[in-house]
Amino acid sequence: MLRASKLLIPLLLAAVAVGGVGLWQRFVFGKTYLAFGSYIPWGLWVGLYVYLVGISGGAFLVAVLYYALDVGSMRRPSRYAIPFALASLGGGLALVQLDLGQMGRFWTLFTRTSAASLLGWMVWVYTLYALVLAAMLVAMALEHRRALRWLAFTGFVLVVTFGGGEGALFGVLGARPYWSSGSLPIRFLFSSFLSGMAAVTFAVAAFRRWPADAEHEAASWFLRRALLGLLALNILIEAVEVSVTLYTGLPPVVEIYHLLMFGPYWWMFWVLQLAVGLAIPLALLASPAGARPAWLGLAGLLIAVGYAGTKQNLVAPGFLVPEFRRLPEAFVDPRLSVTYFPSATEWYVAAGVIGAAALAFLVAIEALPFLKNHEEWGSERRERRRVAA
Amino acid sequence: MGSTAETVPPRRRDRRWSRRQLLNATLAAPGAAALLAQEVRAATPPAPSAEVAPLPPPREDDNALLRMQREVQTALRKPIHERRWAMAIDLHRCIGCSACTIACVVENKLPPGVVYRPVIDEEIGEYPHVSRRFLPRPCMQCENPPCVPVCPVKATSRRPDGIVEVDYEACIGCRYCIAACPYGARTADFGEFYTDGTPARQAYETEPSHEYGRSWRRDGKRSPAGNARKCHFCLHRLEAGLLPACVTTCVGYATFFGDVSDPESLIHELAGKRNVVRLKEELGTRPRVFYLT
Repeated sequence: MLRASKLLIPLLLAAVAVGGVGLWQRFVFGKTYLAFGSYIPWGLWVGLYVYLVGISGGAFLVAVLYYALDVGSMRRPSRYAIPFALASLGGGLALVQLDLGQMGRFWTLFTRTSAASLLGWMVWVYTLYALVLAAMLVAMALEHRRALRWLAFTGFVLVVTFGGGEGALFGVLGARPYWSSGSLPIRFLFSSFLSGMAAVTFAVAAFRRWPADAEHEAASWFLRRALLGLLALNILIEAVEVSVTLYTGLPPVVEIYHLLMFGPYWWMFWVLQLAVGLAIPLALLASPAGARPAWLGLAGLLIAVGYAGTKQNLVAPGFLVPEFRRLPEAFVDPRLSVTYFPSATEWYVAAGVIGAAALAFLVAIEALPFLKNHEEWGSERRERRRVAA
Repeated sequence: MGSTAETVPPRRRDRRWSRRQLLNATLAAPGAAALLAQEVRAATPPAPSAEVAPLPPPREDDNALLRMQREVQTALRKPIHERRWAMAIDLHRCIGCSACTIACVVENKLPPGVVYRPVIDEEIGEYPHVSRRFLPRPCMQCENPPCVPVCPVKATSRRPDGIVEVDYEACIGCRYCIAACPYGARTADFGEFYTDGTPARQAYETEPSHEYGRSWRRDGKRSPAGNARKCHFCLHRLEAGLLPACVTTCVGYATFFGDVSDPESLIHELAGKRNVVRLKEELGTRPRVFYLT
């Protein structure tokens, strides 16, 4: 077992145990222990759902580069990308499932899907994507390169669909000026590419089993430049969106941006989103230190963590300005408030689900032979076939 | 809200009742409504499109409430797709007493955090020129409701008579409809009770509500707990020939209701006033609730 795995697994098990407490509270006390309400109906869990599903899509991009586009240097990272994508997808969907008011009815999303609902379509796209990921794991075990190629192409179409679709889920809500924008699907898509690829970069740096040979150097070189390019693209997209929106001066949107920057959670914007998610990784990647695998991995981790904050800054703040200025005072109740900070139950469950997803990834790369010993897997398998013949 | 220019002359014209008439009507209305309701209950089963027994002929001194009550029963004789329920709220008559809010809570047995008809209290101007405006905000029952297409499981729909309803047994509680509503008219039922944390949960909190013509007894877990909830113009009362609870309890006669497809109805008359405004019309939702400013 890798040293990093040995260090992390107890921590992740502790997170899962904490999550167990949260789950117990969720199932026994229903939604009474959750802090969001009707005027801020989506909170930490929905923010993490869009984040985790997004990084799943971004991680898949690494596999697409190797299996579909024949970028040879992505051979090793792509082995980690698929289990990572599957684990983070599972985590995101688990969180959104727990967020439902009637969890037991989730299956009706399949049996009575509304063709008019984007969310209805997304459920099917997620399902197909999960099947593609599972099929890719099987194809990796069987080393069926042709199947992997087609699955990578298919998966990429699904990633673009749900990557943009997630943005569209918010963008189509004309009632919410903070979200209502045609550019939101593009913002979501490219931020998911960036954060997913960054997460895989970190995973490669932290859980590497192969020597720092020429192929590894090539992979680091490629990932560094890809991250720099995606980072620059994301900064451009966000800068255009924020500057144009602020210049337009639409009061509710300006007020939300003002709250993000100078409100009680200013640190989410300045520290997590800008410093951790953009500025520090940009400096790391652009400097000569970025060529070193450890620094590259750190930059990846910072981007991945920072984008968790970015998605949180996108979800709950959309509700900060009520539909009518004095609506929250019209009928006073904690559920009818436009302030929100996640409850302990929400944090516990979030920690548990993320811990479980990370644990699933670690178990996969430690236990599945075609991931653990993938350098030898092909030759071993060929040898076994030869002996059997 | 739209401009309030030119509101004074039409408002004066609209105030057809003297203070004495208003007082008489206020005192007489609950009794008359109760009598009518009793009559209707006796004559009609509380089922959709109930056959309503003929009412006594209208009288000269019928107040708005009695007139609207008759018109509801007239509308019920029409096929459902020919009815177009609408509500008008006269902002000059609303005194911000919140009687409608409370009546709605009682009628629908609403738990903590769920409100169908809050009254927004706005302060306008600066001292010494200050006034208050009260804006009751029920569900707008939009003709183009943004909450309907977003629902992933078709749990919310628009009935042929225009009422946007929620199928409690289909709703999964994703709250996407809440996010989509530009009026904040939907709230989520978190399964809470007012008397939680006290020695005993009180019986009034578990009394069944009769929304959508069914009996819903809350236990904190089963629907409607966990669902999105909203005003439905007291559909269960309408189908029994009764006006919505907020209309009958309005002490200032500020809320009007009826079938706007009936050209003889009071609501049709009010809908044609030039001081009519609809909230956030620019969003294209085409609300069925309009305000007289």
